[in-house]
Amino acid sequence: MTKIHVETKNLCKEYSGRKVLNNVSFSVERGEFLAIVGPNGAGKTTLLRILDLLEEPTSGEVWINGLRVDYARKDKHVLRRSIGFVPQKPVLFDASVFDNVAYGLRVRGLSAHEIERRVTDALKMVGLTGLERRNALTLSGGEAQRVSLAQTLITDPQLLLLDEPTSNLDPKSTSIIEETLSYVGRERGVTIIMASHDILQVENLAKRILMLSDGRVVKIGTFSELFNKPTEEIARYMRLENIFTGLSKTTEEGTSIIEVEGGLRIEAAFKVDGEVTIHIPPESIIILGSRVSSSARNIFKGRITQIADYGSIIKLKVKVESGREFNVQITKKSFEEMSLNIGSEAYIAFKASSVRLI
Amino acid sequence: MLKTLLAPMLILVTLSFAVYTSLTFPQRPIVRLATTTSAYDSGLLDALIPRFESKYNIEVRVIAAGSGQALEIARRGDADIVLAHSKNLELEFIERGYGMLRIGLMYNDFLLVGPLNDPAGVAGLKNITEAFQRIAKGGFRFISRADGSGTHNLELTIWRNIGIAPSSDVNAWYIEANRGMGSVLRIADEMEAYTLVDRATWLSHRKSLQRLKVLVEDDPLLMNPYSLIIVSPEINPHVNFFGAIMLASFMVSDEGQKIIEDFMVEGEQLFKPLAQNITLSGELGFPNQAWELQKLQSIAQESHGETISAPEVRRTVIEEILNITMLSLRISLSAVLLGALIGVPLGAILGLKRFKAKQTILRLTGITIRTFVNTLMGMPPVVAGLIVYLLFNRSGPLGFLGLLYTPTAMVITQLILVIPIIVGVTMTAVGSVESTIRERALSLGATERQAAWMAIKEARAGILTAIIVAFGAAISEVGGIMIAGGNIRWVTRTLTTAIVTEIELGNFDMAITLGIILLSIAFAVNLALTIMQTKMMRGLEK
Repeated sequence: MTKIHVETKNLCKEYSGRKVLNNVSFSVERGEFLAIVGPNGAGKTTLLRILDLLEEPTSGEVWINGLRVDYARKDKHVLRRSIGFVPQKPVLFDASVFDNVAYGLRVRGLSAHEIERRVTDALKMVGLTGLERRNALTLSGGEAQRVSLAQTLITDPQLLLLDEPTSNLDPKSTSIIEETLSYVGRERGVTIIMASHDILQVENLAKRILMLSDGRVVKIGTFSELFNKPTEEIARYMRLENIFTGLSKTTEEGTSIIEVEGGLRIEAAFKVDGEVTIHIPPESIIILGSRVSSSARNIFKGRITQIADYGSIIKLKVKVESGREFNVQITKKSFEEMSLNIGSEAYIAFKASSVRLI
Repeated sequence: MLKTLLAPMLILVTLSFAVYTSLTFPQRPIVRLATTTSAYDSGLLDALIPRFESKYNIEVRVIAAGSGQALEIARRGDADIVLAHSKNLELEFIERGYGMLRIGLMYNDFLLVGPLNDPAGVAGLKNITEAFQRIAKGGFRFISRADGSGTHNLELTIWRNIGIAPSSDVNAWYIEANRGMGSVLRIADEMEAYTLVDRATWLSHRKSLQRLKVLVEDDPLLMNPYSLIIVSPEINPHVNFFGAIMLASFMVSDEGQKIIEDFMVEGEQLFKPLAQNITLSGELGFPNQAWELQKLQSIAQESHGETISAPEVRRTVIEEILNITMLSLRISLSAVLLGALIGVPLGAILGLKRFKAKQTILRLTGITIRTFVNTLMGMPPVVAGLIVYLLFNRSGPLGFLGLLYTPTAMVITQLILVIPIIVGVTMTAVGSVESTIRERALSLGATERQAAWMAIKEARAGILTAIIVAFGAAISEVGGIMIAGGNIRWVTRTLTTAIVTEIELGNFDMAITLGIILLSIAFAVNLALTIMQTKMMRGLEK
């Protein structure tokens, strides 16, 4: 067995003249966890689809297990059976959860007994034991994505491809999926390539990161190699939201106050003096209807300027008094409880420990 | 995977075979009588035919049309004997060799009816030509059958006598209805117009016509003889020549003539016997009546005229309604089941076929096929009927099968209608899940074939919708089966065609009853299918 599991050489993909992938070359070792990051439209999904043999590259080569992939072959399913793919939006069949998860084994012609045993295991792994008889189309977004993962993992793939598997999911499902991924990577030695835009997730899970922008490889390396000195540009690629640059000064309490242009003062838990770029994850910001007491050190008054519904979560833009805008992510439930609208006044609050230095 | 496909297919095949074979009826020798509508609408044939059928154990199938159409049907070999009243057309028919005996059977007379206030002032005239002249001069509304019927031909003769040829293109007062006598009377009643009508139809419709009365009668020109014509086996060798001879012999016999004489509507005699009255026959355009009768008799004797007497079967209205309903169900279910057998696989293949190819030719082919299917989905039933008629009439390419005016022809007509519907809806249903489901299945390790089958399985609710839509179209369709089946009582009369006939005859009670039955069937079948569909949607949830 070669050490290199997946390799691409000068991979290009065009859709009616538009270059979606442009000379993408990289390699992944067996058992490695590679994250692909980059803004929407960078080519992440297309790259994963080519690796799953669902699409044919316009030019360039893909090598898997030391063999060049021949996209013209009729029996692509043979190679594909060693690859698992979890799409961004789960595609489930109008059948029971059991039948959905069992599908990959059924097409491989396994015995009913074996299938039952492995479905039980797979559902246990993603925390869905007991839902076997439910119709898969009646599941919530998080449950559906976990079924999708179980569907894929049950086939014991050597190579696992995932396309933003946790985007817009509830925290519980997100952590179950992350735990499962780290388990199969560590314990089973599965090679994992995952597209993501969740910087925390990437940092925790991936060994290396491939940054794509406009179909080109911007950079490939470890997290610290990429983010030791992240430029504003990289931060933007990373789709980091709530990025502010300002002058930081330590305080007597052991925290820092960052003076951002426009009169915005943000308190952070680190101790740094000088110019810094900081980032506040949108999901760590909460919304308050009024200026109630909160342990959070940073509370700002503002107005809601944008509301985007992602199903179980809601993304808001809040313009605070200093004129800067914050991206906030809250659950649909709390959004509905507060009956917020565009233009309504609200307070945003976040802890000093939520402010991250980049 | 294959097993799941096989089971429903097998069920479909057996089911459609079972329904289809139940279409065949126990066979008796059959004589096909093409008759002018006026004789049919009067109800006279219902008095004559059952007597003949039980006496000789021969079944008579009646195809009612205008005289011109009746002769046309016979010319194509789709009738064995014709009852008509259009002298010129009849003579031409004989002259060309299509018919071999032309016998005066009976006569009645025509009337000019018109609005109660009689704006043309023709009431009481004994001269029909004079009356027509006044109507034309004053430009008073006149409804013409304009359908090539005997009545229409007589009307044209009278116009010709006064030297005009009115046409709705030029004359606003002249309305060409292209309809049967019953409909024309109702149009005249509604529009307060004049029209020419045979006494039989007038008497049977009179009580529902509030604004019309008889204005001119008893002109010799208005005498209306009906002739029987035997279709010649020389040009159409497959006709039931002896059956036709038997029927004609019966109708001109003392017994037949007596039935005609005794036939009353509303206490009035409709037809006067003519066959045995050689002198009057001569005057009414049958110069060889004596010779023709003799010829008829000798052929009848040659065919050893054995009379097989069978007990007379009286069939009730309830039986008839049941018969009509069952036939409707059998035909539409057969068509939909057979249509599903052909249409579902075809639609699935088209739905799975991706025409996203780079080659323009392939993409154009895809677009063309889809457009073609969508166009056929909107095919008017009468066009389907026309296609079947052109293919299956005795002179048509498939005429040798002898299928026209049988339930089989009706099933074929509805197949032409439902296949595009089933193909189209299935195609859309499969196409809408095709890319996502197929790709997901491939990703999970399915072969191309397994993935395609999964896409079809996911589209199952849509496929059931296709069948529901097709059944709705089939059971409510009238134009196509009317042409292909001929609306023959007891044989090819369905709910929809029966409704048309009953309206034509003015029997609105019966029409409404049949309409309610039709709606109930559509409701019941759709309910069953919809329950199936929702069960499918809910899947396994408890």
